[in-house]
Amino acid sequence: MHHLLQLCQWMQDTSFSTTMRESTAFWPILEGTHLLGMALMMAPVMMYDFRLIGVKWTADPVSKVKWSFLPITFGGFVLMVVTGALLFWSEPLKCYKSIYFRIKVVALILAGLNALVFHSTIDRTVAKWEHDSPPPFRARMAGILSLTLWTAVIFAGRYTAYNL
Amino acid sequence: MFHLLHLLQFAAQADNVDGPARFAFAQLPSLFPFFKWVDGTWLAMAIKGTTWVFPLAETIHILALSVLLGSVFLIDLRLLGLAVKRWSPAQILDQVRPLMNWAVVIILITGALLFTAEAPKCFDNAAFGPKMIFLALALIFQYTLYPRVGSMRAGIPIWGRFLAVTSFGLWFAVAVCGRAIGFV
Repeated sequence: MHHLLQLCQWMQDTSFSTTMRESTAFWPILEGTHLLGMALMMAPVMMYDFRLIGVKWTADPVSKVKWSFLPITFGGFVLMVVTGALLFWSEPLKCYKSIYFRIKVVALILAGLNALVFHSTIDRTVAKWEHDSPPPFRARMAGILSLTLWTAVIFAGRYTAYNL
Repeated sequence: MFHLLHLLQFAAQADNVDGPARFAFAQLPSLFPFFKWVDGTWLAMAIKGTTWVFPLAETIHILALSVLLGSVFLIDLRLLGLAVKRWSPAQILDQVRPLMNWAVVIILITGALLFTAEAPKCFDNAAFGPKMIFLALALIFQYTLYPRVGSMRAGIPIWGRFLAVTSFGLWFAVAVCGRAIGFV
């Protein structure tokens, strides 16, 4: 933990960090892009998760829904990580100390783990179950967890901003 | 982008420094009694009396708006032929229509709560006025012309691009003005 704190302290002391904190235009544009990316990422995530749960796109096989929407989420995710990292860099110490930011990071990690576990296990055999109605339990669970965790990320992110 | 922001800030400034901001509702003093009345209602007092209602309402507001903006974005991407090409625009609309409608309802309810808690501030704010205008335009467009996407099951007519650009542009303008409320 101490090394993390040291890293945050180092980031806080960089001139880049100071410039961002003192800018009038850069930070609003950065945060606005972060929010826009969130909107652009949420929709395809929802589409895929709703299919895994079995409430939307039920006439289509899971793989068709997956390949229509996941590529869009990857682009959105890259945008979120880049803007998010820059936002973090503007206030590393406050983020480090914020309970809401820590919750956000945990939720992000869990969302990633959920995706990793899903894609490396039951998703491997998707051709066997992609027409099933309802989809298998583990697919439905992955969808529900994904929606819940990403909602938690958004909540925690907003509350972080309140408390900075 | 930087210059655009400065332009917006300049445009929002009042003609004289002590006067109301250029695009604020404060330019229409006859509206002030309404804002003052809202500020004195039981609901306004109740929300202002707590610390947790406003942040919660605002977070739900943002969540719902990202659902709305994202759904519109997916349809518009399809209308422009850029993505989601396995389905027709009408098929995508079939799936997202309930999400969009619920999102609008939740946005309006939470937005009303936020406004109730901060009516005088909204009156003076340079971004709130334009946001309401864009919101009215966006809602009208959403429920008059945009539903024509529902007829696009085979090809996409040339005016599909107009629908895409206008719908996303209007909702994006609402979102930008909404964010700007905190900055102007």
